[in-house]
Amino acid sequence: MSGICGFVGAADPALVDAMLGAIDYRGDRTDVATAPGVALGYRFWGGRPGKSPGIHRAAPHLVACAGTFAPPVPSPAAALVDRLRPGPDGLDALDGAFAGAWWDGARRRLTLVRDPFGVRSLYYAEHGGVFYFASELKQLLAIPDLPVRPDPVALHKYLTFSFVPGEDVPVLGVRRLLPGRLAEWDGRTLAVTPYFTLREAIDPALADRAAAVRTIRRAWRGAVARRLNGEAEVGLYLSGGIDSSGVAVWLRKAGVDVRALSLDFGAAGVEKPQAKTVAEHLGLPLTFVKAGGEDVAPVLMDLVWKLDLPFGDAVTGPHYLLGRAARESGLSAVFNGEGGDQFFGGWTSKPMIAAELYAGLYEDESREELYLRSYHRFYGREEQLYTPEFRAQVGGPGQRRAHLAPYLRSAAATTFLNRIRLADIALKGSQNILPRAERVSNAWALDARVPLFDRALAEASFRLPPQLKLHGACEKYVLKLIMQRHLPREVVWRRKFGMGVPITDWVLGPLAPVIEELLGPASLTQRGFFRPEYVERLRQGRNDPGETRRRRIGERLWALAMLEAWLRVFIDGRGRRPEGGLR
Amino acid sequence: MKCIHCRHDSKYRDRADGKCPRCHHAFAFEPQKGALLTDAAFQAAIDAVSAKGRVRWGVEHLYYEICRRRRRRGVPKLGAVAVFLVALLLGFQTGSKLLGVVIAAVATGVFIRVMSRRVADTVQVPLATFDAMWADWQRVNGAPTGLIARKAEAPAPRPAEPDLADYSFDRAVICDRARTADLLIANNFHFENNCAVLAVGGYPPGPFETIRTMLRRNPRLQVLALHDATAPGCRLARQLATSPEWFKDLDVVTDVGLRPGLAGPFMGLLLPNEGGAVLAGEGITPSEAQWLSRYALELAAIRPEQVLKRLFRAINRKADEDETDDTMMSGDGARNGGARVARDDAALAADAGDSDGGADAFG
Repeated sequence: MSGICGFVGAADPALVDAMLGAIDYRGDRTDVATAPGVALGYRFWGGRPGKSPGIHRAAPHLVACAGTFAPPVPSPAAALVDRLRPGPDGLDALDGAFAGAWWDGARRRLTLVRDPFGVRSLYYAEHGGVFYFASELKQLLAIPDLPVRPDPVALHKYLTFSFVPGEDVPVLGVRRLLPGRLAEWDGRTLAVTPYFTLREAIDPALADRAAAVRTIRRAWRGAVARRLNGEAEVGLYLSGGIDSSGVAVWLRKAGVDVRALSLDFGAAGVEKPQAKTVAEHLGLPLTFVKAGGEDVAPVLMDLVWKLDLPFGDAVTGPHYLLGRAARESGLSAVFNGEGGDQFFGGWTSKPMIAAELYAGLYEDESREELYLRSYHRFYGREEQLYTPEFRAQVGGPGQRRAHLAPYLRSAAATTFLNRIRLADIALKGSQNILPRAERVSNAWALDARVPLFDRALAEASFRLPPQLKLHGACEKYVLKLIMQRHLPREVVWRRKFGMGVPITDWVLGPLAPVIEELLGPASLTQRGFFRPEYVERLRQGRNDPGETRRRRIGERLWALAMLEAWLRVFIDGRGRRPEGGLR
Repeated sequence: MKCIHCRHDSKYRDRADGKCPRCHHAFAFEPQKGALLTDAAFQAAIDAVSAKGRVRWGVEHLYYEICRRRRRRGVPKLGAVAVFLVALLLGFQTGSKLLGVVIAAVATGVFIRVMSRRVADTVQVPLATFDAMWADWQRVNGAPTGLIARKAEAPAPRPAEPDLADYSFDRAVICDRARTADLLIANNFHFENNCAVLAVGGYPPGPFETIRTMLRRNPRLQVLALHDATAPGCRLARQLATSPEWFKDLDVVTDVGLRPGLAGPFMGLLLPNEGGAVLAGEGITPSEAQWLSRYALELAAIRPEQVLKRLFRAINRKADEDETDDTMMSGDGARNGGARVARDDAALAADAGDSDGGADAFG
């Protein structure tokens, strides 16, 4: 919930009202503060604990801060300036889910800051001599004379990752601040510096399982407790897997009332019995939320608008339905178990380990290329999908690999597993899982709490010997060792199943009319990016040759459909709320 | 004959120099001079084994694809002459020479038609003939896209990653021959399915022992034996299940390979067994021994795309059967002095289609 915006330069302060108006679903109150050549805006819900009650004014300073710190403080805006100093009480421990802007009138400097892992977003653009910033892209697009043209290079990356990585934003001229960064605008240039970088520091003492269990248990439990702002009741998205079930355990131990919500995919669901088992074991009220393709179709355009950036993972639709159910039951904050795979060695490590062992038998394929392939979208399929005109605009080779090299070849880790973990955290975690979770929650005025993305817990996870994350073939081993004292055996030691969105059934069934509207020959020809014959083959339910998994049909069609919907809302419609929906 | 380069259809007299008269692309084959196939037919065979360039394949797959297209027996010429003469003699008994000739012609025609439709049991294209065609094709057109070619030199070692050997795999496919392992690895089966792929004889040599050691770290490893219908192939699962070097301590090894009972759809693609009589026992039944004494059937007779899809289907059928991974609690799996061998004859028996995705247990 909540959002900020503003500018430095000679612009009309009324622009801030327009930028706040673009995110009217992020709060029922607004606050605007101005100084000569500067304006800051803040939209928020009144009466929510742990949130700034307005813009903090302490001449010559103006501070706007959306979100919360962990542990919570009464007003993040009032505390922010002190927390931006180096040291154990400042930047060294700064954590939470926040995005802040601090105007120092004496130095005439604007400082922007994002939380360590990127729950909250910040975009910026320089246009007409004015520096603009905002929590959401659509706020910048509300600036009337800002040109809105798609960035083919960013779209090309989206088509590989299913999200846009790095500082790129798929609108030319707009950039975003990376998580864990401070940025200072001095009127001419933006200087960006990291204040948090995750590094491996394996502690030999943690090779002892009991010591490892104690350390991670304490950090995990603390991470959950640090995200309680005093609410009497919170929600929890419970999948039945070890991560969300573990969060449920710590919430119960913190003494807070928990209302669990879980997805019901009908016959295609695989985790429903486990969620039920966990809820019964912990005595949580559990609501199953029906999620079918027919439920997603009517909300699709609102989902795309609220997501702000294109996100191509099909889980966003069901999460939107979960958020709606949580809001309807009166909740204002929901916890989830996202992050367990990233920090504690989920299944995503395994393909890269296998590839590394077999590398070099036939032809050279770099670690980066294999990692890109693991996203299973359109990497290596560009010639089949892209029109020659679009292909010519996406730039030269190596742009996507450049996002990975800092992690996959990182000197900050000495083990292969942790290099993959660093890449997963920085890309899938910070640029996909967290921002999409925050926006889908905000779509329903919910505060997203993601306790596994906790600074202290993350640092503890990188002190563990990696064999306690992936133990043989057993994933998230240390989390399972911790939870076997608290949860039924069949929940803790069950083999991993995917999220299980039956997306291929959806896009070929109840969502087929929507897919036709977005990806039919007329639409594709008008957009000019993709070859209709390739997309038509997918729409007929025919997989790429050599592709063994049927789910890839749905994943690829959905990613294309979400992109076309995003282009309609944010490029054709300049980010305005879409009127009506698709068929 | 059509040129594969420009699709121009030329007469023999126009391509006397062995080149397309329009684009001057050289032809690899000339049926007028006795070649078994046209260039276009050979290209069509390559397209079929490579799924139009999207699947990696081996030259052995192309051999069987050519055999698949040439699996009918030839018409015995002496037989046709004999039928004609006998029918002619019988026809003359009618008293009319004209009627006799007609009867002989009809009988010979029927004979030729019937005989030409017979499908041979074994391959009809000699390997030497194929090798010569393959050499001609590569001389003219180069190596086709997707052809699996091992590096001549051992792969350059990547930066040392000492922790790799500490992990394991969810499953392993053990093959009876290295070329089958090549097919799976080159098509990233290991990467897509967290699946070790090894050939029982020690392939790939570089990481072989490291990977085999890693497999022992997973007491609930899913093991599949993939093999030809040969005597050693049909004994592979049992060998894996009883050898202390392999999986004696696991619960079960599943045989998903080819066996004589699956040979029905492969008529014309069998090889004559040249290894002598096969005795029943050690995983081979008496009727299988009888068949294996006469024939062999290689996995390469199945198109690569189908091998990958059918194997994917098999591993996911197995994954459905057991969901709980609780051996990590107690440390060790069941120990009974040898793994049980399970048969999954359906694995390779039926084609896998576009919609055949299996249970797909990966996120």
